[in-house]
Amino acid sequence: MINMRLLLLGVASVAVLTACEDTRSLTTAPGGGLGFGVSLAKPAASNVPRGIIRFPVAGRLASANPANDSIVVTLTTPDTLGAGAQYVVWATNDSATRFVRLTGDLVVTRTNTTQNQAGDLVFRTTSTTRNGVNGFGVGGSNVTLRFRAFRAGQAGLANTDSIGAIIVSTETGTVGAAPSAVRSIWGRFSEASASQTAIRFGTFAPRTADQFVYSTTAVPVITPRGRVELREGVLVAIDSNYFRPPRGYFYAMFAVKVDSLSGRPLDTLYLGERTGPAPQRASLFNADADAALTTNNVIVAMNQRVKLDTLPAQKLGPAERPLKEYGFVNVVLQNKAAPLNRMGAGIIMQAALPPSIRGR
Amino acid sequence: MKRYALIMAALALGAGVAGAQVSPKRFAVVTRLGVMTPERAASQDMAGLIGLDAEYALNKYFGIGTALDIGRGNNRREDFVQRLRFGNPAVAGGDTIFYQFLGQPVNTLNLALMGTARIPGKVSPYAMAGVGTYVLIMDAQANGSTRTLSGASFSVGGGVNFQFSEKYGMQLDARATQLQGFKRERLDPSDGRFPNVWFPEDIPAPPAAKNTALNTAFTLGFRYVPGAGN
Repeated sequence: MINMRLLLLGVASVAVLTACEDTRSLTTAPGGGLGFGVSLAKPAASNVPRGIIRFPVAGRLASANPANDSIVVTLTTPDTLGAGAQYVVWATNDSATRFVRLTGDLVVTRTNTTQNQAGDLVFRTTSTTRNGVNGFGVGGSNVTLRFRAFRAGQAGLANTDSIGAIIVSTETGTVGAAPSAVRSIWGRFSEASASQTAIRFGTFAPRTADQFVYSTTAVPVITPRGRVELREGVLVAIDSNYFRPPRGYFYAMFAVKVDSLSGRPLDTLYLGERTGPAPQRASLFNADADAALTTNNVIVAMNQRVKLDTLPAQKLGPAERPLKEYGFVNVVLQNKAAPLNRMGAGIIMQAALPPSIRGR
Repeated sequence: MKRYALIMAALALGAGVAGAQVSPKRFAVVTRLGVMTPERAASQDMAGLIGLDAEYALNKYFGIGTALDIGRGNNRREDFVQRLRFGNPAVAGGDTIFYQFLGQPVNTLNLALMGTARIPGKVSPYAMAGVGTYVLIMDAQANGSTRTLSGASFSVGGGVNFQFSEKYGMQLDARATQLQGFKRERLDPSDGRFPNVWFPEDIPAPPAAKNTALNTAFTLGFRYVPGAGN
């Protein structure tokens, strides 16, 4: 029995010594992998639709010579719309109860940037004119549109009719006698100075107290903030404080592939519509119309998770560096009638991806 | 006749076993060695366990005593993910984030007053129940200070005692001890300062925390009755 005692004592001693060994306190392990992140920043110009609306000099009513009363809409960087969709320009009275679809001439001015042999940037502008236009779908980040219509000859617009506002609606079906609910661009005569006013971009309402103005310039009036992070093939963007999208718009996220030498954009990668906080990550696609998704016209928080291996493989880099050559992640205000996977011009926030993600 | 013979044989065998096994009004000391497996929500790994029971036999069926269990294991480090950020995310180059599983050794002490009930014999099954107190002692080096967690505990269990002689025996023992007032967050040396809010799907979170923790222990014990015969 003494041997048994010694045996048990030995076993217990080994157990105690093992339990008290010095290195046991070093139990931390880098098991969760490595991530890389960068902040989202607000670009100096966000390129949301902007421009000027000129009313006839004579005012709301026709002058003595209505053929000279012109209405001009100058619109910069609207999104290019998809098949079957179009922008339509309307004249309406103050209370927005009567509408006249305007027909006029459209000048499309496109500015392309190229490099000459010396490597300097060269801006090349081309313009095309289309006559008798009552709807158009052209747009883009390098496009300015000038739509001009004369008061005389517009069907349904009598000389005695008052023009209180000009509305540019987005139509996705057969155009009726009134614009669709997507009335995102407008100008009111009552807000005009010297017969012209800056475009209001937002959600139109007959009463100014009810309308929602997203921006009157290229830049939204509030500044979101947030960051993106990439870890083991999963990209996550957590950001906050976005204005509710104008009716007919939503927030989307794109990655932009750039030439690593010249910085010239080569391709875009659609990362999906923005989503709400985790873990639900509810879609914010309808935040333009669903008041439950916003608080006081603000999307308080977004959280988007993108598993990169679910995206088109031909657009991605190697598995260990899927966003190789991608220089930016953009949060874009996108027209719902535009092709979903085609990045619009309205870049609200942008993250310049670090070399640890893009490769160099 | 056959039935009678069997009954007599059984009684004779039982009397012999009973006489050899139990030492009423005496103390028995059991040293135990084994493992302790906390329930998943407790976020602790399986741990080694040393136990010491001191039992006073009121009679050959019942006893009272104390039980001390000392477990030395680690917290389940993958339940305590730390997001450690280096660099400045607002400048070119961004930042680098390490996702660390933060572990630490945890000592578990449980002291209980217990009662036992047994069926006498050379192979003697028994059951026990106890009430007491526990303390979890965290690693001072990992926490930067002393840190403990304590509360009441309740134990139930049972096992089998194999009697070699009146004095010596071995026992297999299984016990479940429920720790009351358990606070899992106390096992996190960082106090939740660096949570993983970015990749919850990729680094799964542990099950929901509970305010109790159930530890199940399996031990092999050496039983010794001082002052008994051989």
